[in-house]
Amino acid sequence: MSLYTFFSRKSLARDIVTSFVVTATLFSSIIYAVQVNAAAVTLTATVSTSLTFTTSSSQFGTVTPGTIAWATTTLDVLTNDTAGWFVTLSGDNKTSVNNNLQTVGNAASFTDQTEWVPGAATTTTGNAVVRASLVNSGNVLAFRVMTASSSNGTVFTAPSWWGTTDADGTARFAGISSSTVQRQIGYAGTGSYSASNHINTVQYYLLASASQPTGSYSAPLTYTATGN
Amino acid sequence: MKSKILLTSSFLAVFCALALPFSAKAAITVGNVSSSGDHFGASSRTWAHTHAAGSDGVLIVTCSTFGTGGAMTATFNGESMTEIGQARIGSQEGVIVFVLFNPSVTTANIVFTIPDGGDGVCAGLSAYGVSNSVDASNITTIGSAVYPMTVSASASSPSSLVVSIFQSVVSPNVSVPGSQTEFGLGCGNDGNNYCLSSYSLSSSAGTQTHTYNNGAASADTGAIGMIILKESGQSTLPPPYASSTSFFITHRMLNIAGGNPANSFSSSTTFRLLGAGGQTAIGSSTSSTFGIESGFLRNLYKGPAPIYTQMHYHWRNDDGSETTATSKTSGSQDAVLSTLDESTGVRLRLLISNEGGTRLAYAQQQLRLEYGLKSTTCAAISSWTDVGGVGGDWDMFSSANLTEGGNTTNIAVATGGVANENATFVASNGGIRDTTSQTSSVPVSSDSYIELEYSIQALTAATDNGTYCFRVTNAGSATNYAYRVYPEATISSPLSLTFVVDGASQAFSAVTPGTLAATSSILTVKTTNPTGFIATVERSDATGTMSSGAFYIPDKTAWVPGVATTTPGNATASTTQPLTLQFRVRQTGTDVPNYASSWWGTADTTASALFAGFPSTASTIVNRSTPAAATTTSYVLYNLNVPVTQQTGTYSGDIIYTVTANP
Repeated sequence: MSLYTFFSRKSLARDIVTSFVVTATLFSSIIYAVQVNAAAVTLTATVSTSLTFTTSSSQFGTVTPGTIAWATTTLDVLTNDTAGWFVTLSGDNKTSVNNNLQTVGNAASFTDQTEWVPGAATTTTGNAVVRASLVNSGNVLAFRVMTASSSNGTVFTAPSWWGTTDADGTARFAGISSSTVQRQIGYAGTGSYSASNHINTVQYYLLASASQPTGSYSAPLTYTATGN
Repeated sequence: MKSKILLTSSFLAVFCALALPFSAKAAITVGNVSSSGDHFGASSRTWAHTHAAGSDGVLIVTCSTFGTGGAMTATFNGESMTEIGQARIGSQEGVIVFVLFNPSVTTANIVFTIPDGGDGVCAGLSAYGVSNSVDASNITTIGSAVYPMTVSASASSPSSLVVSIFQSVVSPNVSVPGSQTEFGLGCGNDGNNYCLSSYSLSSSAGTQTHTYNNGAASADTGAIGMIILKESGQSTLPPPYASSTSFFITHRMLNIAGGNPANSFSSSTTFRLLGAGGQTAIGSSTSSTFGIESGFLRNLYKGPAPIYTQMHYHWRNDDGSETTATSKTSGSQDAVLSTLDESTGVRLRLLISNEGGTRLAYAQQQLRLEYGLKSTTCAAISSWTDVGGVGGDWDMFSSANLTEGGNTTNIAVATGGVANENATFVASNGGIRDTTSQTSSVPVSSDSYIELEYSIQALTAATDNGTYCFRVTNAGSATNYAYRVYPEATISSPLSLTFVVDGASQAFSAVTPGTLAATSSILTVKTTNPTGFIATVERSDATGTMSSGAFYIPDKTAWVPGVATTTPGNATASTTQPLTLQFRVRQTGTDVPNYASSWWGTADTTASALFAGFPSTASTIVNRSTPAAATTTSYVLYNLNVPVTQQTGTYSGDIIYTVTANP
């Protein structure tokens, strides 16, 4: 049985258009018998947010029932937004009745871990759980944001959400949410500005039960990165 | 036979003697004639005429007209001819005569204009040996009359050229007797003569008559005219001139009151003391230039009343004492002061010489300096003002170098003095004035002169660029004063410099990294400075032009101008260092004298336009060498593009423009 997952990605750069009213104040002066005159001009400009977002993913490959399969998506953000940025994730297939990872025509699917609901703040625990606490005896598709590989560290990975480390028992997993309720999976606020790319990794957990029908499964996902 | 031969010889001798006066003059000759031909209904007639070389020449143009004529004119070779007269029967037949003395010797067109476009014909006639004025003329209409028609005028000279013109209303085939020479062409649309011009040479003074005949001998009307030009060199009254011994000229010598007494002394051996009628010259002179006359000879030349004559002046700097101050006009007296700043002390030395006498209305003088604003000439100024008066355009200037009421000395012209203009210098004069404009009473007797030195200043109320004239009076009275020269001073125009920037703040639209944004400033300058101005720019922040907190927008390499506007600076195309803040003076919107293509590029295209970054020290971006009496503009373009890593936020920064009048 071969299992495949397919991911799509979408990046969104938000343009902030700020208009300025050109100051029309007439600055003038007249000097007689003095040969020098000076005037100051204040130049102003508002630099809009620029954000580029790319992802690259590894696939589960062939999944053997009873053996955990792992996959990852690397999130690569480059932005000038000094207020920071955040990333949301949703599953295109996910509905109240459909799972994310499903065969063509949804003849079969993997059970999703309970959809991710973040805490109100990155310091507030969400509904992610450690692997041992996954529903359906762990035979689910789940995800988490890894901590070790983050270029942002806890600024983005939020230990309260995803666990303080990537170690089993500490790392927390959640289900991929529905596309109707895009859930924030990482948030970098003011102070996170870097002229370099921001790299973070999303880890996917998949365990098939022995009764999981064979076939090729896929789950299109949507990541959205947004400047604050 | 012999006798007869002797008689003949005697007759010739007499003839020659009589002929001599005439041979010295140029006899009248008639040269080329010409005709315009018939013309109908044209507003001008043009025909060629040759006026050949000859002394005392004249060109006569006669024209017959039909119509109201209007303001008719005639020219030859472009030279206007003088109308001698015209006559017309209502709006019908008429004649007009023009002359041009000493016309150009050439073949050129005669152009006769008749604004109403009436019919007519003209003729031209050149003659030589005539005086350059019309001796007599008679141009008139003819009421109903029977041929022959005549016209007459009286010649003042025995040798004259008589020219006439006739135009009839109805009769064709007009002709003249053999004593008259027809010239020109008969006119009339049937080809017959309704009009004719003719001339004759007369050898007698008095009434000259021209006749115009017609075979029909019927009654007719028309216009007719005659002019007479006498031979050049002929006087109005012919010789012999009066040489009678019966008449004589009387000349009555009038008694003259005053005059110097009949005593005399002199310490000079150089000067001639002239006396007459028992009156001898008096006084002594130390001058090697001026003499002294006395008695009625003096009064004949100079009169008994004083004539206080303003004869010289010299503008001086207030940089020394009465003797050491320097000339303000390079050592030249009577030189106008072309530029004088207001509120700046200047010294004016004046020489007043009594070129008259002391016997009539002579008194001591209170020499006051007055000024007037020149409009046409100083002499034409009607309103003079006391320099020391309250307010006004001028005032005295208290000088640390002078002592009010001190005596001037007879210093040399080179050091600011004036040339001596009479025999005696009035040494005790109180002529130094720096607080009051008027001396105490001082005598300036005949053959004497006084030098005055006033320290004055133009006040701010003075008219910019206005020229002021100065004169000295006796406490405001110019009676017995004469002014050969007037000191003049022109007030400098204060250098003005106006600089306006169209906005104290210029904002770029939202700047998206990687996308060019632009804005601009317009610098408007107006200056009277003859050498123009320079404009510089600098950023006020040493680190960078625009910042948002600790973040700066990259500046392009700071502008370094070439040493001259024709020498390139370091500006480069906008594609170099594109993700920066950069600026240039844009050609479009910048007046030509303000734009340096070597600095900012030969065009506003991407390939040619040159940009630079704002420098941290003032650097010239415009250098204009000519005045900008009217406002002149320079358009400064700002380009901004930032990298994607440029922190978001609102950036701002000041740039400072400074405009300075060129030295």
